[in-house]
Amino acid sequence: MEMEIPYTVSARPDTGLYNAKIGIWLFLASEVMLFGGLFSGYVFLRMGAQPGYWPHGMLNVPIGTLNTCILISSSVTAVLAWASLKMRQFTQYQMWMAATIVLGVLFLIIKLCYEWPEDFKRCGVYIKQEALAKYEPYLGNQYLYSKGLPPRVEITGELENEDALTNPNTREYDLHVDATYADPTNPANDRPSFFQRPVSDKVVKINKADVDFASKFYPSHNTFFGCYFLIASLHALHVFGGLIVFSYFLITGSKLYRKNPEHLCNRVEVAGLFWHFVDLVWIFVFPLFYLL
Amino acid sequence: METSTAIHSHDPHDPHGHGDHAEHHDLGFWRTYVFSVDHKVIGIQYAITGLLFLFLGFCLMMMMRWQLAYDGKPLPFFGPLLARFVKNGGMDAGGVPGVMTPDFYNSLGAMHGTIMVFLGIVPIAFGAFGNYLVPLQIGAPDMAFPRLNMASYHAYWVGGVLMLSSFFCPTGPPKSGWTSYSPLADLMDKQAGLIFNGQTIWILAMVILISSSLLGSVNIITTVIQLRAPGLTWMRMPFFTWTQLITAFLLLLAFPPLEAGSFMQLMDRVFGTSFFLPHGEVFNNQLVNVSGGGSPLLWQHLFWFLAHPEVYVLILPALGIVAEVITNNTRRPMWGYKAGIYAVMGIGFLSFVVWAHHMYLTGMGRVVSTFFQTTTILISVPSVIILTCLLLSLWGGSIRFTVPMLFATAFLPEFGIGGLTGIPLAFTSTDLFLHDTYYVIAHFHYIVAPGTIFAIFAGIYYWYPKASGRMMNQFWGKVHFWLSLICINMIFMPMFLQGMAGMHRRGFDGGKTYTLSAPALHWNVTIAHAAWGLGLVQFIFIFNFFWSMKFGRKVGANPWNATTLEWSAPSPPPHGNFVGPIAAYRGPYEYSVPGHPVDFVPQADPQGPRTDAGALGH
Amino acid sequence: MEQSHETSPSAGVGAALQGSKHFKGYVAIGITQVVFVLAAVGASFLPFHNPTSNILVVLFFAACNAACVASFSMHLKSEKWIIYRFLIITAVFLIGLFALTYIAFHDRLRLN
Repeated sequence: MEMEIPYTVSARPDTGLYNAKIGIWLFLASEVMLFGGLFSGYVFLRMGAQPGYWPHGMLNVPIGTLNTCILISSSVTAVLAWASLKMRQFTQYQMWMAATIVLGVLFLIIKLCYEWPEDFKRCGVYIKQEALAKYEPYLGNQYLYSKGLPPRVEITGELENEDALTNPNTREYDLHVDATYADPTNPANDRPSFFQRPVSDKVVKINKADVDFASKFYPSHNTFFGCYFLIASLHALHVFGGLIVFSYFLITGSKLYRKNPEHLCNRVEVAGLFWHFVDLVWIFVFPLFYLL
Repeated sequence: METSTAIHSHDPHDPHGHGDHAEHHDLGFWRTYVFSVDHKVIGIQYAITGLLFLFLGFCLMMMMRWQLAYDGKPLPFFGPLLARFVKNGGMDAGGVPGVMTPDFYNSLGAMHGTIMVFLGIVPIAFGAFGNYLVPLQIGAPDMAFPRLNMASYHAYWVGGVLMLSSFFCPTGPPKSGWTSYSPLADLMDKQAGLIFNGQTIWILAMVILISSSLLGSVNIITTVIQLRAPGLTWMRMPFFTWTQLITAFLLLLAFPPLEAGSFMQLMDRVFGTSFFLPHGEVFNNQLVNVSGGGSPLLWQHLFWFLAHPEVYVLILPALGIVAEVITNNTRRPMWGYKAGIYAVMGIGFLSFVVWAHHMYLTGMGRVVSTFFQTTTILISVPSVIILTCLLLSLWGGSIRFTVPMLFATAFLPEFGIGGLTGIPLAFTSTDLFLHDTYYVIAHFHYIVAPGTIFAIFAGIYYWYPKASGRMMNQFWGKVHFWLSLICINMIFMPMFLQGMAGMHRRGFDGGKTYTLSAPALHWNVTIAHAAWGLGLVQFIFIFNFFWSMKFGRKVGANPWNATTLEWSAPSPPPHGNFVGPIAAYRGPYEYSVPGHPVDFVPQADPQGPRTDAGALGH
Repeated sequence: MEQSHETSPSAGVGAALQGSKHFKGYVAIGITQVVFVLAAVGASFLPFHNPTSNILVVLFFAACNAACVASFSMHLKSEKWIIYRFLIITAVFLIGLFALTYIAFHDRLRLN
C-alpha cells in the first residue's frame, strides 16, 4: 500500500527530496519549538529569580562532560551507519548501528542509574531571610557582600537522618554540609569547581523554624531543578525513542535491505536526523544547566 | 467513536463503487473501517468523532445556559438524572437534585471550551476536511504518510476519551477554564500522589491531542509539497488547500510551546515543582508547601503563544471552505485569489506575534503592550483583505442559493461582525473595560459559531455527495439553515450588550454579582431559549445526514458542476482516488470562461482552454 | 510511478560521498565537537568579571558545536533550499518567543 505513494524513495524533481525527509525536518522544526518553549521558560524563571536563589554548580560536571562526549560519539556512529548503507556495505552498517545503540544506552545508564540517584541523595535547605544571620558561619554572606557576589541563601549537604525533613516530631535536624559551607569565606569556594566539592565533616544543626523550604535535590527543590529534570527527562525520553527506532532498523534491516536498499538508507537517514537533533538539544542543555 | 459503515453506496450498477476494490484484497472489517490507512476513511472518522464531540460540547453549554437564566433552579428532567452521576454533588447544590454548584458550572465552562476547540472544531475543520479533501484536490492517491495519518486519528480519539474521563474523577472535571491559568490550575483538586484528578487528566489529554495534531500537520504539509499532480503549480492550488497548508504550519509551530507549558503544569501538579507558583503562595488559607520562585505569567505566555494561532487554525479552514463554495455557486473565479493567498500567509505569520493581547491586564508595560497592540491591529488587515475578496467574489456572479451557498453567504457578514468587534479588544484602552466580559465571548463566538461552524455545515452539504455518492435533502437543509441563523444570532448578539454592561464572562450566577450589569441580565433568558432552540434545530441536520446516506438522491462525480480536481474523481472515490492518471491543465476556478460553451472547465480536463483566471486575479 | 525518476534521493549528498575519505570527515567533525565541549567547560571556569560574559562565551562554544552537528552530521550544508525555509521560519518564531517573553518580563509594572 505504501509503494503507490509517489516519492517515498525517489526524489520529486522540483523539490529534490523524498517525502520522509521533508516530514522529518518539519517534525524537527516542531521539536525546536518544543525545546525552545522549555528553554524560554528556563530563561524567564532564571531572570525572575531573586539574587542567590538560582543555584550554580549543583550538577556533576565531569559526568555531564562524559555524557556529552558519549552522545557526540553516538552521533558520529549514527551518520557512519547511514554512510555505510549508502555505500551498500551492510555488515559495516550493522556494526555502526550497534555502536550507536550501545553508546545511547550507556548515556541513559550513566544518567539514570548513577548521576540522578547521586543527585537525589543530597539535600538543600533554604534559610528564611530573617534567619540568615544566624547561619552566617556557614553562609559567609558578609564576605560575599564585600566582594560584590550574590548572597548564599541555601545550605546543601547530606542529611544525618533520612526522615528528618518529614518527621513532624523533630524541631531540628543535622546536616553534613558540603565543603563550600564548611569554609564559606575561602576564595576558592566563591565559584563552582569542576569536580563536585565533597561533603565535609562539619555538621550544622538546622532549626525547622528557620527553614523556608528544604528538600532533597528533587525536581521540586527549586525551579532550577524543576527546569533541569523536566528538560533532561524529556531529552532522555527522546533518546529512548531514538534507540527504539534504531534497534528496529538494526533487527529488521536486512529484510528491507534485500527488497529495496535505498528505502532502508532513507529511513536510517531520517532516523539519524532525529538522533542528531537529540544530540543538538543536549549540546545546549549541558552548558546551560551544568556550566552556567 | 467508530466510523459509520454506510458511507459508500452499495449500488452494484455503479461502476465506481466497490467494484474498483477488486485489485486490493479484502482487508476485513477492522482494517477497512477502524484501522484504515485510507485518508478518506480517516477523514470520515475524524468528522464523525468531531461532530459527536461538538454535540457534547453543545449540550454542556445548554446546561450552563439554564443556570445563567434560572440561577439556582433545578434543571428539568436532566438535572436529577445527572445529580446521581456527577461527582462531588456538582448537580446537587444544597441537597436539591438538579441544581448546579458553582464548581460544576466552572467545570462545564472549562470543558465546553476545551471540547469545542480541541475536540470539535479543529479535528473537523483540519482533521476531517483536510484529510479527506487535500489529497483529492491536489490529485494525489493518498496522504504522504498514510500510517501516520491513522496514528494521528487514534491519538485524537484516545485523547478525547481521556479528556472526557475527567468527568468521572473523584474530584470532578477541570474547573480552571479552557485556559487553565496557574496558580489555580496548579493547585485545584490536587491530592498528593493522586494522578486521577480532573485537571491532571486534562493536561495529559492535551499532550496526547497535541501529538495527534502534530502528526497531522506534518502529513498535510508534506503531502501538499510532494504529491501535487503534474501541472498543479502552487498558484493553481485551490484556496482551500492553501488555507489547510497554512493551518498545518500554525499547528506545527505553535502547539509545542503549549506542550512545554503543559509538561511544566503537570510537574507542578504531580511532582510539586514551582514553575508557575510564586513564593509565598497561599491556597485555601494555607501556605503552599513548595519552593516558589515560579511565575504564573510564564504559563500565560506559553499558553497564549499557542492559543492565539489556534484561533486562526479555527478560522482559516473555514475561509477555505467558503471560498470553494462561493466560487462554485457564483459561477465565476474567485476575486483576488493571489491577494487572498498572500493575505493567508500574512495572517499565518502575524498570528505568532500577537499573543499577549490576551494579557493586557497582567501588568505589562507600555512598550510591550504597544507592540502587541500594533501587531494585533496589523493582523486585521489581511483578515479584511480575505473577507473583501470573498465578498467581491459575489460581484457579477450568477448566484444560485444552494444549501452550501446559503451557509457560505451567511458566513460573510457573521465573520465580519466577529472580526470587527475584535477591534475594541485589540486596543489596550478599550480592552481595559471589555476584557473578561461577555463582549469577548460574543466576539469570538461570532467568528467560530456563525463563522466556522456555518462554514463547516456549508462544507458538509457541499462535499457530502462526493463522499457518499448521494445528495443531502436540500429542503430540510434550507430549513436547518434559516432556523440556525435566527437562533444563533439571538444567542450571541445580546452578549455584546451584556459585555458592554460589564457582565463577567465566567460568573455562574448570570451576572448578579455586580449591580453594574443589572440592566443586561434579562438577556440571559432570551439567550438560553435561543440556545435550546438551536440545539433542537440541529436534529434536523443530524437526521438529514444519516437518512441521506441510504435514501438521498444519487449523484455522479460532479453534481455541482465544479472545477477543482476532487470533482474529477468518482463519488465516492475508490482506493487510490482517481481512475486513470490525473493532471491539472488550468487554474482552479475556471468558471464562465469567455467563449467556452459550458460555464465551467474542470481543472483536470485535458481538452478546453488553458487559462489561469485565478492567478491573474480577475 | 517512481521508477521513472532515477534521481537519487539525496543527490547532493550522495554524490559527495565517495570512499573512506568521508568516513574520516565524520570522525573529524566528532573530534571537533569534543574539542568545543572541552573548551566550553574550560571557559566556564575562567574568572569572568560579570556573569553575562561568562554566559556568552560558553554559549558561543555551544553554538559552534551545534553548527557542526547541523551542517555536517545533518548535512544541512548540502540540503535543499526548502528545508532552509522551514528552519528560518522556525527560527524567526523561536526568536520571537524568546525576545517578546524577555521584553514582557522586563517591561512590566512593579510594586515599589
